Parts: sequence; structure tokens; C-alpha cells
Amino acid sequence: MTSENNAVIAAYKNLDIENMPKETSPEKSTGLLRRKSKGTDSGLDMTNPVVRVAKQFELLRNNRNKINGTDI
Amino acid sequence: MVQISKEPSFDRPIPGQALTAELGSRPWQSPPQYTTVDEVIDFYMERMSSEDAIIQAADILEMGVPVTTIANTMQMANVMEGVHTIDVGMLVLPIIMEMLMLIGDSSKIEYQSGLDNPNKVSAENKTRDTLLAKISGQYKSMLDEKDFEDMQDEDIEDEDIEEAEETTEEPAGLMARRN
Repeated sequence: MTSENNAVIAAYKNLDIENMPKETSPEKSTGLLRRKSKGTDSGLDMTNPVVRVAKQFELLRNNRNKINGTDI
Repeated sequence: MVQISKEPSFDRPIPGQALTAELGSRPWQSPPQYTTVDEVIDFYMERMSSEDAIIQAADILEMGVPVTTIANTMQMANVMEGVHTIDVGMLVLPIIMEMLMLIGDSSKIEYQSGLDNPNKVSAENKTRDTLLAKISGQYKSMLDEKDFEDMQDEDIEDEDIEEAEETTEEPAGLMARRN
């Protein structure tokens, strides 16, 4: 049981949501020559699956913190 | 650390057994049902949000099974069923774990996360809880099988017989009065 779960523990602990880049509000530009970004408007690279997982993970963690009363 | 047993084990697949099935006949050898991380997250969220799943998860957590083990088993089972690939499964593992911990926290269960020290679970006295649960389950089923009405009837019959014996008892002592 112990060695089987090593990869699981590593996968969980490597998801460092505290040091994830924070979302930033997209720059307002109404010009026609504005560069089109590939899903990085919020400052997060949403094309990266790990970032998507981290976003969902953060929501669940916040819920847990609310239940446990440890939310900041 | 790999433990080498001195006793030969015959409960193993024979060499080459993995090649006996036709390639692509197994669910994990065909294209998965869900390919992206988002789809797989939705799949798990939907399944784990149902009332039955929450109750089951809470029961298993209550037994002292670590969250890591449950999450790994869940994702491995879905890999075997061809729901998603193993790499997507590893990516969504933290979410499954967090969801299980959320269920545990909301149910006020003191669960084992399995993150601190994997050997801690076996060292602790948690197996006793599962053993007690098993014994209580067996006792409950035994009680269910018994018909209490029959037992009560038997008790009443026994009491009647005892009373009858008491009334018909004749004194057998030397000093007893003779009729």
C-alpha cells in the first residue's frame, strides 16, 4: 500500500496552488489591431492542463477551508 | 523495498498471459471515453456529488482507509474501464483527493489523508474499527434472521411448563404430611 501511493502523494504535493500566478484583469483594448491571446487573458495559461486542474483544486480547497474555519 | 518470499507463489499470471488476449480487446487498449482534463474533472465531480457516492465515500473514510488509497483506486478503476487514460487520471488525482477530503470534512469525519506517513495507518489501531464494524454487521444480520415472535412463544411455553411442574410437585421428605 505504501509504495503504490507514493506517486499519488507526489501528484498531490506537487500541485503548488499557493505559488500559482494570480489572475489579472484583462487589458481593455477596443482597437481592431489588438493581439489575440490564446486563453491567457486572465494571466493564467489555461491551455496548460495543470493550470486548469489547479483552478478547480483551488475552489475545492477554499470550500474545505470554509468548512474547517481556516479560510483567510 | 521489495520483499523476496522464500515460498513459491503460484497465484500469479503465467509468463506471456498478457499477450493471450487480442490487442485492443481490453477497454484500456481502446481510445478513452474522455480525453481532456476538463471532461474527466466533470465526470468525477458529477459522480462524486451524488448522495449515494457521498454516503459510500463517508463510510469508507470512516473505516480508516486513507484518502490516497481511495483516490488511486477510483482513478485506476476508471482507467481499466476505459473512461480516461492513466496520464489524465494522474492529473486529476489531486482533485479527487480534495473532493474526498471535502466530503470527510463536511461529514465531520476524522479521516486518514495518507499524505503524512504512509506507514502510520498500519501502525495505528484503525483496523479495530473495521473489525468492529464487520462484527456488528454480522451480529445485526444474525438478529435479523432470528424470528423474535417464535422466541417469545417458546419462552411462554417454557414458563407454562415450569408452572405446571411446580403445582404437581409432591413432597417427598420423611416428615411430609400424607394425604
